Amino acid sequence: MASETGVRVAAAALVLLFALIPALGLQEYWIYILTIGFFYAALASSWSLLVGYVGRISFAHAAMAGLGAYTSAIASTRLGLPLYASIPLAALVVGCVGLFLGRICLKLHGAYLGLTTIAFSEIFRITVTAEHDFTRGSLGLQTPGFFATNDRAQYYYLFFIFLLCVLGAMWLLLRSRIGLYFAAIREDEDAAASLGVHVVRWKVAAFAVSSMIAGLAGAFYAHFVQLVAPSMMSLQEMGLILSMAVIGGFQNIFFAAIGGVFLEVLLELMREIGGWRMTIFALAVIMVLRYAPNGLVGELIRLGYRRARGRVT
Amino acid sequence: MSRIAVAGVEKRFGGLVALKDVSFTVQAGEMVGLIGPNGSGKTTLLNVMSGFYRPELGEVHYDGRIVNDLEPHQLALAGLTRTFQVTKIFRRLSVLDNLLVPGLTKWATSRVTAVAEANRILKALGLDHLAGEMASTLSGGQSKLLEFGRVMMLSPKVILLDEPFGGVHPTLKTLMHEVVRGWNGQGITIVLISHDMSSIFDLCKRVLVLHNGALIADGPAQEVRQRPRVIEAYLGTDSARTGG
Amino acid sequence: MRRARAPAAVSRGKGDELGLLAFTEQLINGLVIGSFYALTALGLAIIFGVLRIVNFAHGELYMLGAFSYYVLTSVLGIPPLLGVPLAALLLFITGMAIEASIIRPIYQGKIERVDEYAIMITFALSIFLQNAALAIFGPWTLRVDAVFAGWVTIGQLIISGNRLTAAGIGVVLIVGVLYVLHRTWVGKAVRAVSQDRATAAVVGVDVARAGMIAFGIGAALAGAAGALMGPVFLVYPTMGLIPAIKAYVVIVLGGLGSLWGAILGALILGVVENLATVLIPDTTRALAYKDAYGLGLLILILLIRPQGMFGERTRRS
Repeated sequence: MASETGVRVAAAALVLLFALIPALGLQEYWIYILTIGFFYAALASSWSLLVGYVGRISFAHAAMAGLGAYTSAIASTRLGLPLYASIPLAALVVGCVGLFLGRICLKLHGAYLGLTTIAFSEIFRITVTAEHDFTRGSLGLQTPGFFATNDRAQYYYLFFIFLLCVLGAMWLLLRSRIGLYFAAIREDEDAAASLGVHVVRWKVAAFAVSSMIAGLAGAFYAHFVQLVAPSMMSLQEMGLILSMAVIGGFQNIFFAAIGGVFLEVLLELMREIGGWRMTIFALAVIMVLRYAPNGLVGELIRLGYRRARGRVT
Repeated sequence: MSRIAVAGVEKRFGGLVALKDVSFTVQAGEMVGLIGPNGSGKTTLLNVMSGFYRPELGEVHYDGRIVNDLEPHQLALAGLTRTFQVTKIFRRLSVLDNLLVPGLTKWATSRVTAVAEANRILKALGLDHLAGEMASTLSGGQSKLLEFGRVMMLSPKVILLDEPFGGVHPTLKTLMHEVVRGWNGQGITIVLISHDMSSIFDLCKRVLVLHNGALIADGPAQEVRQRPRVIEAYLGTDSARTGG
Repeated sequence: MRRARAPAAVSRGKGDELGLLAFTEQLINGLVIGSFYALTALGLAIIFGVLRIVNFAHGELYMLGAFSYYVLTSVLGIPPLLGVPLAALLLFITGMAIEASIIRPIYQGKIERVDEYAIMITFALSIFLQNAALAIFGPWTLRVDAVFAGWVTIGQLIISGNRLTAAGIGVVLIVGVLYVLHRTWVGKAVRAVSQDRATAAVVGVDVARAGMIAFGIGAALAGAAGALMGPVFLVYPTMGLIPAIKAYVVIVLGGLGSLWGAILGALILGVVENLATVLIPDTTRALAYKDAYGLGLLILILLIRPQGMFGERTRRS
């Protein structure tokens, strides 16, 4: 179908563009910003997996990223583990936390789930702040970097490849029958169960996978910016992730990822207006939810289709 | 060995007793009607039989095993399936995907096989031209047919139907009767809950009657409908005395 | 490594008398704080009862109330006693505006995915209001005039007069709202909608307006709580987060939809929190985790008995 090839071409072009950016002579600073954008893209897309595909809204996502960051940070500094061990450890730990959270939140949905995840998020943040023997509390914990030098381009490609891997893995999952189970659970749990879908197992799995990706992203982030602070786990951060996913389009992991990069870039471009940035983003989220619930990327594609169809006929 | 046996089932919700000492067996290949006035506990009984509720007392047997503690999806995979009174189709999935969900719950089934089977069933139900459409665009009657299609994908041994003919126009009802008869013809055991008496007596040789959570009649359809107690349950004591 | 014991906030072991005094002091403190929680929680409960949504922006409405009070009293020089009702009034109007613009579409069939929409839009609203306040007023904490300065002595107890007055006003407001809900026609209409929206509409209640008023009342209560608490705990843009979480704990504890449950739950939480700080030996840790108790309680209730003490249980399938 014409539209499918069109999407594939556009996606390939986008990937190519991002792959070539460092070579195009972009300022070091912007390469740094895009790298952070990839980090947020991973968070936004893994959040949209839970929200858009399984239909569960968790507000603990930022906390999961933070947990991953802190786990790897502590493992590498206090336990002296090398990064190729501490990062997978972080992913494992956060995956287990996600499993646990998913298990105990099974009977909860909607606002109840939202409240519980907010509570967990804050408890994690408070604990991390309070246990400053371990974590240096609000002062933040310094972490070793990935590479010996602070070559921005290296980190850029690291995160870019990480993001592609994460998106690829999620896409494969969603294309498989498991993706169908997720959607069935989102649409109607009881009907899904009556048709043979193991609702408990797949809901918990979704939580675990989504959290694990966030934790992994957080771990990578820790060794990129080389300083982790509890603010990473705040509800403000959660609000940013939500904004990215909603504005990009939370029904689609790729749209959400684009939202992540886009908003991070915007955040930097709007640096001058400081505190007003999040205010504007939040307002944009409200507008998008109300008038363009498929997200801006989704709307743009829809408009693109309409124009194209109009021209053909 | 019976296909399904319900023995001494009691179901309570707080202080309310929804089912009291309900016992009956259904043989493999039977088509049994389950009737009773509103609030008599028919759907509750169905929910107990399909694993959605756990009974406080009593057991549900399926193929000789006690299945009280099984989850709905386990029963479905074992061939005990059901539909819902208010249709629960997957609205934001396509019609085909609605069928693929049950089609792919057994890991052994490949996607190719499931798609072929789904298309075959859609054709048999006259829905194949809607395969790619979003399920939310279906009419009420088409949604009911879609639910039929979904349970068919599970190669069921038992189908529990909860008010499938509610609000369905006559032509579609005739088609649905044919489908149900076709199922029974293949040896599938059917329990049919319906308020539609013509459908019940058309399809079922045997009828169970529930009233206030208790089974007050279990016998041949034509005979049961004459019993005073049954008439009383539906129409009140006066009607029973005056003979309906 | 043994950590040195931090000096206890309250001396213990110096005779039961002192211990009892401290206990009573914290108990009364707890009840006072509890009445503030009740004020906020009641607003949340009303909004949930009528509109069936959990208002994730409730903490920010509380914060707006505090900031309104600040602007009214410290900037415009209005006397504090007038500042509180005025702030509440401002929030009442704001609440109605919010309902009319972003909540009402839910009931007008304009929203596709209702559940997700309700949660996300109020969460987004909370981020919006927080950051707007940050942008306008800056991150600094502000001091505001108390309604009643000074201390009140009851026997051996010394309690902040400010807190007592604030609690007193809070109680008056709670009683007032309950009166309106149970004795006036408007209140009954609102309650009717909370019980059965469709039927209320059939008997002639303007359900849209009832919803708007309910949100307005909820916002006004939160705003009043913020205005009253401002002098006690200082005013700053993120001040709403913790009271909001407390409010959630309270209404889940008391049972979503139950007003008396909310009030009772609020008092219990206030008391538990304050007593916990006295009873736990390591005070610095205890204080650091103070806000976590409510959170832990919230999780516990949601998992064990989600309908709370008085709420109704929703049936499955």
